Amino acid sequence: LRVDSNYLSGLAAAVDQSSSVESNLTQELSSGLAVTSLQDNPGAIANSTLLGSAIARDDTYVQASSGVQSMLQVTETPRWGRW
Amino acid sequence: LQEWNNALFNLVGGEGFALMNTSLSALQADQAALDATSNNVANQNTVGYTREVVNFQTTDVVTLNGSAGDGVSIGSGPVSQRDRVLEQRVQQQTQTQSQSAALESAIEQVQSIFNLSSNSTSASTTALGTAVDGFFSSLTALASNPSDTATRQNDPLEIAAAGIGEGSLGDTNAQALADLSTASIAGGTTASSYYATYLGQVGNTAADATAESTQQQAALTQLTTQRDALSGVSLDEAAANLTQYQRSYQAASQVFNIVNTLMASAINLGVETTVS
Repeated sequence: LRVDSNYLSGLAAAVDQSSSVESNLTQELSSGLAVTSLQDNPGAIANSTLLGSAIARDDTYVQASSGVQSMLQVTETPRWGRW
Repeated sequence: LQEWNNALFNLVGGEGFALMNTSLSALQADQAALDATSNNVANQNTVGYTREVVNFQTTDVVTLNGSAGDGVSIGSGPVSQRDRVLEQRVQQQTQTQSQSAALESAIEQVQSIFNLSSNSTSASTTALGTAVDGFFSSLTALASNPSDTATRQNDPLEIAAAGIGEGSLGDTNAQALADLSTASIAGGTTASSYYATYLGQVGNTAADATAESTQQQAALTQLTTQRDALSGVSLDEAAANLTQYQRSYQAASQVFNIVNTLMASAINLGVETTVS
């Protein structure tokens, strides 16, 4: 059995790797999200971004339509009042 | 007396010196081997060190009024145990691994620009994506209520929501701007779709770079292990060599001592105490 002169550097690299994995898992646990960076799941993030954008558009539509509806009610009220 | 003189002549003039030279060369060879072994043990943890071995060689026989051996040598010195092909592969792989690691680091920096966060509607949002959505959302709100001063940021002159001739309640321009959210304005697709695709590309590139770097590191580790299997120091082997060379040194020293005693005895013509 020959002495492994790279033992310490290999050990340090393994510890770094374990520490990185632990940090990533801790971040996932604390945030409740399995995806903490783009490379974790690129496809899921792309779809999530698309869905988020669609939801934002829908929210805007709902808000705009509510505003228009409110204005229409304001417009209608005097007419019913006159009757 | 004649026989004694002949024996003395042979011993002092030829064979004695030859024997002394033989034991001397053995002492020197064993000393060099011990030094090499000591050097190996001292550098057992030095990264990149290749162990040295000593190859004993018989020196040429001297033929002069009969033949006599001239001892042993270690040739040109201790030889490092290294496989040139393997060393070259380790160097190449080290460069490749460094390149992959640098690429991974650079792409991770790009990736970190798009910092992910979560809100009530999405588990992974980015600042840029939120800004793009907010931009079009604001334009839509403006189109639905073009005369609202709050929506127009308190200054109607800043945004021309109405088209020409529409008056203050017109919304043609605002509507046209809001419609850009669903129009193909970037790379043949909508802005949000293009951005989502781009995020996917960055993520895939980063994942590929990480996988590549990991793979190259594994290959480098494997090659380094192979190299160490050949060039690394074995303490068991060093201990065995140490004992062997030490015993060999002692044996050569013993021979030297015997010759020395014989020479002294011959020179003193049997009187032991004159020269020792």
